Amino acid sequence: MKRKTRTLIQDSVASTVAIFLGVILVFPLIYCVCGAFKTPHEFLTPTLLPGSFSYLGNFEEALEKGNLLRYTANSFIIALVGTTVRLIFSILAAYAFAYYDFRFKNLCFFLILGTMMIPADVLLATNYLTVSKLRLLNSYLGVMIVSFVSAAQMFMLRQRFKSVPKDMREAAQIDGYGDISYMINVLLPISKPVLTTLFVQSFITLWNAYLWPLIVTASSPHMRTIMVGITKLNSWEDENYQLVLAGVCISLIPSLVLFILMRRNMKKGGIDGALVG
Amino acid sequence: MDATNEGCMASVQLTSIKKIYPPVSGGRKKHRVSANEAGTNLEKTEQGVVAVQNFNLEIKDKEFVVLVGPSGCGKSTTLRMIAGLEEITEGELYIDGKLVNELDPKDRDIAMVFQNYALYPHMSVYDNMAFALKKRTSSKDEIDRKVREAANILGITEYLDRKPKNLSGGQRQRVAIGRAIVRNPKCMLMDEPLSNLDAKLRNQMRAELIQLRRKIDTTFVYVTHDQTEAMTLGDRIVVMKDGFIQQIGTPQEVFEKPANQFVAGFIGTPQMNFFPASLKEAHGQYSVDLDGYVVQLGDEDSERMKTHGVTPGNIILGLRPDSLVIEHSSTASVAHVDVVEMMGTNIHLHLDYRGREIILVTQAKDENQHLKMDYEQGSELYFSFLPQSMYLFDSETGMNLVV
Amino acid sequence: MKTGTTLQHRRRAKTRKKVFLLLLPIMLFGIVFVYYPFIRTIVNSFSLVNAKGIIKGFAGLDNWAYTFGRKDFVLALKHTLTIAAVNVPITIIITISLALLANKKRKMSPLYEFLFTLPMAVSMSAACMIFKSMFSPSVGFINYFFGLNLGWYESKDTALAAILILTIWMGIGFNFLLMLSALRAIPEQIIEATKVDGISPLRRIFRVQLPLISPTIFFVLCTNLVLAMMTSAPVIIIMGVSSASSATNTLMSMMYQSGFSSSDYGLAAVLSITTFILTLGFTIMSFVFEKRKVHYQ
Repeated sequence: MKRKTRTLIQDSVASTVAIFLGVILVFPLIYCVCGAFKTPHEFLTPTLLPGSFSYLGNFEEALEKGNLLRYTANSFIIALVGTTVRLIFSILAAYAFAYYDFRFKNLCFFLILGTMMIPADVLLATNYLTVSKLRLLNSYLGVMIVSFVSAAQMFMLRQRFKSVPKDMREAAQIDGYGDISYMINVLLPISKPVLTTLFVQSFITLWNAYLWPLIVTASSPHMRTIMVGITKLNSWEDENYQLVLAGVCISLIPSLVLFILMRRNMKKGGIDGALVG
Repeated sequence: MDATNEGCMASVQLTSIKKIYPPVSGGRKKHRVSANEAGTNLEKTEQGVVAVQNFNLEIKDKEFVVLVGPSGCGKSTTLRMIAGLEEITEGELYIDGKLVNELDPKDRDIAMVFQNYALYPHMSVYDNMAFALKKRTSSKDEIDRKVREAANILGITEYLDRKPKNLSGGQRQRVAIGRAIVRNPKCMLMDEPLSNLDAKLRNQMRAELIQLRRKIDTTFVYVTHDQTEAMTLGDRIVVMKDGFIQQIGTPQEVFEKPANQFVAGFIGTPQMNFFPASLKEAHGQYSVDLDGYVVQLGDEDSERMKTHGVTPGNIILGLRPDSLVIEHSSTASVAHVDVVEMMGTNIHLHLDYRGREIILVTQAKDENQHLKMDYEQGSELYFSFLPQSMYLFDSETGMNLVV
Repeated sequence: MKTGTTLQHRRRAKTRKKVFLLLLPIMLFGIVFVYYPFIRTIVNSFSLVNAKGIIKGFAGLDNWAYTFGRKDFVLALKHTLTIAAVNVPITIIITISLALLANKKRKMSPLYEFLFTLPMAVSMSAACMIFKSMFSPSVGFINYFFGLNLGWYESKDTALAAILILTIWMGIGFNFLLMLSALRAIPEQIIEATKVDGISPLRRIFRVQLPLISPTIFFVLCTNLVLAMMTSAPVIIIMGVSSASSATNTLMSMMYQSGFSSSDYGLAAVLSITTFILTLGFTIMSFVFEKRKVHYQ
């Protein structure tokens, strides 16, 4: 029995250390939540805990004065629509590569894949000018439009589509189903896990976006996304971090919810969706 | 199925069908052809690999035709051409008298059962079967009626709510068939439907298919590499090799009068034995000399050979394993026992005849129900054969000389 | 009768049309918002560009010479390289260590695995605001708890370090996940073999486990390198885009400044391309490194 107890002790120590490290790692979040509940007066003393967790003044102020309610709506629309369009574009392209042979197939494939090689920030200035010329500044579309292309997602979907046996497509053909109806009725329903993962990842990415929305909505504060909004919260009053932290908490809610859901999903399936952004 | 069988019958006619796989730039097709090519001798032209050529076949209404042959012989390709899943390079295809070369699969009124069933995994059995009907009929009641009718015929009514993953292989197979028959197609196409089942299940399903045949009265085109399936299921068999038709005939015809050596060797288990022998002729009478053991041909066969103008020379002599008779005298041909397979009622004797392996099938028990003599490895065994058991093939072309 | 090639052509044309429509959206947007800007930025860097973004003339290497001569450019370059050089190794070390600790599945695993990956759910701007407040010299927790009096983001000496802490923290979540998956993907039997052979844990880590996850380490290295080179948001958010930020300016934050504060598109282009080339160069160098050190199974 000595080995068993030895392992038990080792595991306990390891677990304790791990949890301890985990708490330290997550400390900024703990700090954030605590700070959000502090009154402005309380915040001046940098202790961790607030007086009580029932003070909601910061949240109210953030949502109203800080306009976070509107910003949340903006972010939500942008994330939802942007993710959907992105996914659709990727699905269509992946379908073409998985089911058809055509002359410039390889060229097109590498062209699309090539977009992954160029970091988006490098293109900020020119894209801004393009969007400006298209008169899409300060609009939802203007923010979403640069996110419509995801080579990584298309790649994953192509893998997934190719793994579906070809005779399923043929059976549907014989049953009288063309490409689009096959996609809708058969292919996509059986690809639900991948689609869900990609959707969630995209949503989080678009929800979290900062730099591009900042640029595009620079002259229209009401169109801001929430991630931009929270950075503006302490611009009018100095040192009102409790307000900022409240805003941050609000902005983190969807991400956290989705994150927890994704964890559960990942536990079931593999991590193969995790590398796509 | 039901009395008003409107769509359920059609003849299928293939005329000079040819299929060439071009060396195409989209890497995929090339790969597939190469896989089939291994071990076959498909003709390669500058336009590409010829998977099927010179294919002429008239399938009568309600006939059950089996395309059989080794891997890569073109049987699946032909079936897929009938279905419309492969383009026909040359030739015409008629279904029910209509030229359908350019029609999409869905417009040909055919149904197909795939080797891997291709059931939609996210739908219940009911939905799988109803799926095809949704595009043709809008009436929910009618769809329901047809699905239940088909399910009834196949005995899968109790599974209608289940998903494919909760079914066994045999059940899935039945659903695949059900999905096909529910539409009352003019022609049913089946692509090696039993290949994925284990041996025991295969036998069972084969018997069920024969029963099913009685209940579903439509034209069948069935592809398999298993000659037993072909023999038991088909009204007629089409034997194929390397893209060419080798012979078309009823199971009986193909068995008793194989057109060439390949067909003779392909049909029948265990495989026919082939011996190099010489054909002799004297005064209008032909005889076969197998390394000294001479057997005269029957009159009828001799007559036929004379009219064909067959000249004496080297030939291939074919003898089925069960037509070799064990002799006890040394005037017969001699071979040595190699492997003895106890098959229950029969014994399969693998013999070494002059360096080549031949098989002799004999009954395990003699007339008195006593087990026949023990066959020792290496011991000598004499055998003979009757003239009517002989199959004679040209040593170069492999054509049957007598037929 | 030959069922001629005209009908085959028709079918092939139909396919071509279908494929064209399927690929059109993604390729159109890919060209307009990725390839075109890329080329255009390169062109801009060699041109005189006015404040509206229109090219007014050819500038040859003038923009480049001008940029490279600027003191603040050299400073930004230094900062960017520092960030890359410090961020990547530390991230790798921390995440590998955490992954090794968490590798074995224990009762409390779900808890600390959750904690270790949690930073990945936090957006860049959220993290920036949290850290900005946490490290505030006056009301921040860090100074209070550790009894320090550092200026952190408000002091020239410590600003870069503070930014590094932030970026490293942000990267831990996702990279930990990768490392953990890679470690757990090592066939159990190999680990058991080391136990049977009596190999000490330290040796096992360095001689067996790390080499076997080297492809993942390489991937983490590459991706984090690119991200580190592109660092701009923390500077913009926390430090603000003003002269005070020259203490921590990075190439990309400077690009943002020139592009969107001063509308100097030529300069912005040069900075963008410089960053891109550097990043590409480092990535290629990593591949050389990969050939020698990374073991693929």
